[in-house]
Amino acid sequence: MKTPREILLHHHQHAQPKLDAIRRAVLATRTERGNESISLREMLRSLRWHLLGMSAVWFLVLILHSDAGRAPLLAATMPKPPPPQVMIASMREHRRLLSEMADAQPADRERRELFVPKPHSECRREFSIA
Amino acid sequence: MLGVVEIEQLPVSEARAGEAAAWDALFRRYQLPLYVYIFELVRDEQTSLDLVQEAFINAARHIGSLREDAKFGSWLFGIAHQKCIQRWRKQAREEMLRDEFANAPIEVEIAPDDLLIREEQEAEFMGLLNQLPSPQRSVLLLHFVEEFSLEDIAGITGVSIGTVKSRMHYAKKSLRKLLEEKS
Repeated sequence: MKTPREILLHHHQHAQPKLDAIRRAVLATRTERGNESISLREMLRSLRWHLLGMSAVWFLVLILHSDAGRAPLLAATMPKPPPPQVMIASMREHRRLLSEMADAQPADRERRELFVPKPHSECRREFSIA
Repeated sequence: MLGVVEIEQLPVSEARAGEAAAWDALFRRYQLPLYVYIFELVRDEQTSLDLVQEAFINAARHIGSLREDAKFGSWLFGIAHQKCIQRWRKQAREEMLRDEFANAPIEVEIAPDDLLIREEQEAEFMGLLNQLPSPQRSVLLLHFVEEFSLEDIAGITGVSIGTVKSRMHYAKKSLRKLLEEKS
């Protein structure tokens, strides 16, 4: 006595060699596809320097772009110049301080006023006399 | 002697990882049962071989869609079943599915060896199997060849478990009757 499974499998046993061939063909197709994916990987590997260069360029472009976007922001954060009235008042104050300082050193001022440059001929003469 | 299907550890996870040896083992394990199932449905050798090949290629391509490794067998048979239906549709030879027993509330307890056939009845058995309507033949083959559960058969054939039970019941009943008549 046999089970239906035994009968069925035994009945179709003759197809086994053809099925083996199919199995091998399918496995070979899978392997070829695997090799294709490997060759794709190799191709990408050969292009790695180009890709790296392009990535660097894009990175630079990105940085420049972000800086350009940030420039107005920086301008906005910078302190505003004081109004003209304040600037004029400040300049006057500076000038007054300078004049006071100048008045505080009369010896230098006198020396400067007393110094009168002599003609070159006179200088030479003095020198020659000496 | 070809033994009854036992709980086995199949290298499905290895196949997922792309190991050629694992695929070889899986294909080797299922090639004959799959061929038997397909042949008994389409009744043409070359078509059956083509469909086995297509099922293998599809399985290798879509292994990612398999959720449970333990269900590899029923998943593969499901692919093959769909291929058979596609082929039938293509050849405009699809039989109208006869679901006249689909809703019959039948409880069947089935065991794979509850139908034992004498040696002299083997040829008759093969002939009688072919006389059954395709839906009944399909569930009976899945039960005989791989001992799939009713749930698995329902998944493979795309019908409810109730329909599978009904078809199984009437298929066995018809087969017994035919065998008794012959003997």
